[in-house]
Amino acid sequence: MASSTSGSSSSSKVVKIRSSDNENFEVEEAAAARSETIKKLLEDVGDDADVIPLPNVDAKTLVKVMEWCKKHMDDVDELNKEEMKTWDAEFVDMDQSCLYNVLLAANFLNIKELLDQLTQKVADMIKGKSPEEIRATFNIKNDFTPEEEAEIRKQNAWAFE
Amino acid sequence: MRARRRLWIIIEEEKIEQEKWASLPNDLLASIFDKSVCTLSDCIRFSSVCKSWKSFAMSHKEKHMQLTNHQLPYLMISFWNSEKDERQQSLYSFIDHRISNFCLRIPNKYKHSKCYGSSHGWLIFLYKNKSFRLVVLNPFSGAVIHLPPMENSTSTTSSNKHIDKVILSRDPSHGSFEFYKDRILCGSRGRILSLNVVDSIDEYSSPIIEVIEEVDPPVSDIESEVYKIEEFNLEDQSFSSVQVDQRFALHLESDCEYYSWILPSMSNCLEL
Repeated sequence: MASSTSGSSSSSKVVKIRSSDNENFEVEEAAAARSETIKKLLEDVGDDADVIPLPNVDAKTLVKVMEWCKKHMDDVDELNKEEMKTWDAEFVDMDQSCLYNVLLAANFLNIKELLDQLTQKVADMIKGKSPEEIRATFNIKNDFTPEEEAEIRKQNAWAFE
Repeated sequence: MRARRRLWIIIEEEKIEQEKWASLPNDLLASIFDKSVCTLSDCIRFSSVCKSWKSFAMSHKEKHMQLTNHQLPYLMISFWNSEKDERQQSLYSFIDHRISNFCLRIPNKYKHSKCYGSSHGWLIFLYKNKSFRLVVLNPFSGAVIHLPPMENSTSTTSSNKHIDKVILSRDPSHGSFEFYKDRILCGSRGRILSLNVVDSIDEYSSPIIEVIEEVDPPVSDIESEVYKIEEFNLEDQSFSSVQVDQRFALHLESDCEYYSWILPSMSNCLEL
C-alpha cells in the first residue's frame, strides 16, 4: 500500500489503529499523532507499522476520540477560535458513561488538551452540587454507613446548608 | 435459569458501573478535584460523595491549608429566633451574600459571655462561674475545652490587666496549642491584624484578605512580659510559657461580643 501518495494532499499520511474489540480504523497521521501514546508507538515502529493495537479503547470510544483529534489536527487561527470553543463545548457534552470512557481513553492515549477539557467538564458538573446530586450525576454508590453519613452531616452541617 | 443468570449479569454490570467514577485513577481524580474544589465547603462536599473520594480529599493536606487561608471569613452574627424563643448564632457568607441556615453550636450558658477571639474555627469565651475561666469552643462541631481558672480572678474585672484578645496558635483538635492573651489596655497597639474585605469577588476566585494594619509589638515589650504567651497542654491540662512566634501574625482579629470573624478549618469538620 502506498503510504504518502494516496491522499489529495501530501500531508495526509494514513495510519491504521485497532480498537480493543478488534475494529480497524484508518486515521490521518497528523490526527492520530495528537495522542502522545500513538505518536511514540509510530516513532518506535517506524514505517513498518501495520496496525497499531490499542487494547484499552473500544471502537465506540475510539471514534469519539479520533473525532476530536481530527478537529484539532491543525493549529487554530484566531478567526476560528470562537468556533472551536463552541465545537469543544458541544463535544464534551455527553452522558456520564460516555464521558467516563472518553476520559479514560484520553488518559491512556495521553492527549493533554482533551484531558484538560474533559476534566474541566467533570469539574463543572460537580461545582455547586450537594453530595447527593453528585452521586446521582455520576451514578456513584453511597458507600458510607448510615452512622458515618449522619456523622458527616452533623460535623459538616455548615458546609451543606 | 437463564433469566436468573441474566439478572445476575445486570446486577454485576450495575455494580461495575457504580464503581467507575469512585475508582478513577488518582491523576484524573486529582485534576478533577483541583478544578472543582475552590472553597472549603466544596472540599467538604467532594469528600462526602463516597469513601474513595473522601480518602483522596483528606490526603491533600496542603490543599486544605490553602483553602483555609484563602477563604473569606464568615461573619458570625447573633439574632433572636422568635420561633424557638432563643438567641442563635449563624454565619453570614460574603460569597453568597446570605445568612446560612446552619446554627452555630454554642451552648446557652456561653451565649452571654464575651467572645475574646476566633482562631482556626474555634471561639474563645471568658466565662464566669465562681471564678473566671477561658473556654475554647468549636461552634461547628460543638467541642468544648475548659481552660483552668485564671489566676487573680477576683481582680480580673476591676484590674487594668483585663484581657482584650485571645488567639490560639493552632487548631486545638491537632493536640496541644498555645494561646496568646493580650493584656494591653484597649487601643490599637494590641491588634495584630485588621481585616479588609474587598467587595467585588468572583464566585470562585480566591477571596482577598488584605492586611490594612499591622502592629508589631516591640521586642522590648515581649521581654517585659507585656505580651505573654502560654502553652496549654491538653493532656496534662497544664500551662508552660513559650516565646512569641511569627505564626501569630497570621491570625485574624475578632470583633466585639456578638460579631466575630470566623474561618472554619478542615480538621474540625471532617473527623470520623
